Amino acid sequence: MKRWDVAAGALAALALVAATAQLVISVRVVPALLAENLVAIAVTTPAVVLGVVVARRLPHNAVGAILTLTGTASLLDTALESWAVTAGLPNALPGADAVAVVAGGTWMLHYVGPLLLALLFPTGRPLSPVWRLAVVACFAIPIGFLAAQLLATGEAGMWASVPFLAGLLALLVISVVSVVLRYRRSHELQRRQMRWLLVSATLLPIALVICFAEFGLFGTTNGVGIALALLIVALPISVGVAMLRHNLWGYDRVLAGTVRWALLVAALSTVYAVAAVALGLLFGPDTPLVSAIATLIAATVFLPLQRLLRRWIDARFQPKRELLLSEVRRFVLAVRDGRVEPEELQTVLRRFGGAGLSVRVGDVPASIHANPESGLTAADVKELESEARLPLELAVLRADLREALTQTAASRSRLVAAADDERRRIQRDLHDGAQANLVALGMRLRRLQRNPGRAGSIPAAELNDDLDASVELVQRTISDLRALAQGVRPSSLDEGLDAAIRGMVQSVPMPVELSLDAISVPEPSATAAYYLAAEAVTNALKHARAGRIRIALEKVAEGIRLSVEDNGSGGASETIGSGLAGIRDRVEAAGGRLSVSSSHETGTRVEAVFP
Amino acid sequence: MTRLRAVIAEDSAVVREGIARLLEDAGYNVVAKVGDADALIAAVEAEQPDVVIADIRMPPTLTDDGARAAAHLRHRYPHLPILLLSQHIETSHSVMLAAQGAFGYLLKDRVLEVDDFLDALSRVARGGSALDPDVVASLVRSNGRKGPLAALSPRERDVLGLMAEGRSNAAIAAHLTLAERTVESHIGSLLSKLGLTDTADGHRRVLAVLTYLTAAS
Repeated sequence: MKRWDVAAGALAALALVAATAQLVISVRVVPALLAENLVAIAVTTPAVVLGVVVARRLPHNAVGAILTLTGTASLLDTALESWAVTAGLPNALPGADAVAVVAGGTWMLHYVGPLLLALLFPTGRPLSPVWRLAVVACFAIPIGFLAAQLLATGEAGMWASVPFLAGLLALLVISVVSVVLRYRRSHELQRRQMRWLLVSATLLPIALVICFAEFGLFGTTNGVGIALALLIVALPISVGVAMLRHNLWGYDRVLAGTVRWALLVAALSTVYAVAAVALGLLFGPDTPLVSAIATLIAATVFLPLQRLLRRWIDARFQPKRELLLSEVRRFVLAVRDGRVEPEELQTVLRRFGGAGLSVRVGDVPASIHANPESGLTAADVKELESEARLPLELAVLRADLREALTQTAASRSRLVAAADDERRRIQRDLHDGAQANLVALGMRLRRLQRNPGRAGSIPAAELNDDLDASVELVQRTISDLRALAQGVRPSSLDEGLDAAIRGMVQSVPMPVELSLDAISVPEPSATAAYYLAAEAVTNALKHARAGRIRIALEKVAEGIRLSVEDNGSGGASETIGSGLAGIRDRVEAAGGRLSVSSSHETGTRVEAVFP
Repeated sequence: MTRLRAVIAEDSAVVREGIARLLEDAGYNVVAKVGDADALIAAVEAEQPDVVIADIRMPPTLTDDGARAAAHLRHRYPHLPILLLSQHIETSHSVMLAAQGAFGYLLKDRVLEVDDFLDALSRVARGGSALDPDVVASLVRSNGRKGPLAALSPRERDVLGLMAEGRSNAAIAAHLTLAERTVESHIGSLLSKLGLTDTADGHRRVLAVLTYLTAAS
């Protein structure tokens, strides 16, 4: 990659030499030139300096060096001119005659920089490899012209220079074409940069036309200096701004606003003037009535006119913003009618505003984000956001809803799985306990029934033992069934949640502090609360090795609150499949809210509030 | 007569003891009582019993370990009679096994019908088959709507069911309180209606009927 900052530095040094030469010549030899040369140095300095600044900031972009070249070339030309002027004077500089010949052919140097800028701005690269030819021509034509001037003088010299003059004109046209093509193909940021260039570049053809016209009409070339000076000052400033200020925020807005107000004032003045003249013809001039009515008319058209101008100018100066706003407005209507989903806002923004735009539903409030390449200002984005408030908020609400539904579905499937597990456990308990006992009992009775027939009478003692064993089987079956039923739903709950919890803690091998209000808790909250208490107590004993447990049941503003605290080692977690996760599902299925706080210092507190 | 040597595999201890006493009362020699499928295989290899009674649902996985152990034993000892006890009816698999002979499949509560249970066990021990009446009923039900079974008379269908359970002609006659000759003629008639060849060998007739029922279902 080329280091254009080095080239710009070298050119700046050359410019310094040329400027010094000019000053020396005008001070020592031709004092009359001093003012003219000072102006020349003053107008070229911005180009040289800004070019170096741009090249230093963007060393791989040729634009900075070209900008410097613009100034340097002008300075070189004026330096040569100053040198040539000394020819014929008593203290003529050495070689002034020869330089005079050369200086006659160097004016094209002024155009090299602007032409190159037109061809290469703002990327520093030609549009395509073919356009490189035009870049080469920017150097070849002035050199050829100079050669023609040197080799042929007089009439012949005139004719020899014609092809190069034509070439220069063609190059001007080509560079304009290049600018137009590049503008069409660029994205928004580049266009913004190019618009800056366009402002000053329009001066180029104007300067050329003025020069040709002046020469044709008056045979003089005084305007050239003025036109070139304008061009040479305006160009580097606009190029420098375009290259260095990447985020040209507000430029379009300011420009559009200025134009809009100027047009508004002009239009209102016209309306007022026309009205005043027309009314004056009717009622005679200078009556207060005429002024009043004309003012009224102007005031009446003010607002509609302002709105009209705003839309018209915005559409021209800020087409992208206008397009986006109108598309978003249309989209909002479609959302309101239910024709599209609010989430498609992103698609609409991308389609009409490019990939730099994105919707952030996760933000509060939801926002639209635009990166610098989108070419939109912060104010534009704010405006878009306020237009798109409805779909944005809808998208947030829907995202929340989806999240909640997902959680509900997950909780539901956990509940179903837990219920399945429970059923399997009950089935197994029934099978291994009650069913097996009953089969065994049946067999025992059969045996008692059969044996007397086979072996005569059984001794009374043995019969008694057998019957005892049978009754024992029945008792064991009953107690198995009772335990099973208790697991499904503790029957003690029939006497109230407080009674059930009191009964439950009786089997806890440590004192439990109870503060239970006798509140009637409806199902399914009561069952959920009971299992919450049982699980929390179990955890406190098993995992947290607590020394103290406190259970409280009370009425609060939101409903009924059950809390279990311990002073154990904390570490309660709701990992999938853990007892607490199952409890949360139960509590939430009953419409309650569960909160768990657990730490090493304060122990664990599990609390549920049921409506 | 030598006492038949039996191995009992059943995870519930009370039921296991109950069956063992039932069998001993009936003259079997219970050589091993085990509670899971692995122990069953070990006991069979150690004792080389004449008959095996196994619960289908047993540890270690409490699913169908007993059935899988039975399949394994059947593969190693093709002539070892096995009687499987189940909690619920499972048709196709059990019928296929029963159709191979020396195999029985009964619901567990059948144990309480002591005479039927012992009868079924002795049939299996002699190389016959024993299918639970509920299994047979569901088989006949699933076959009965259409096809040759629909052409059978109600009486013939009763006889077919009892045949499928694995009972002998005499047992069928006793069960239906018919003369054995009448049962014979019913059997001849239903076999020809089903297109099966009649043979004098009771076992082979039963197996033919079972094969027919499973193939049709």
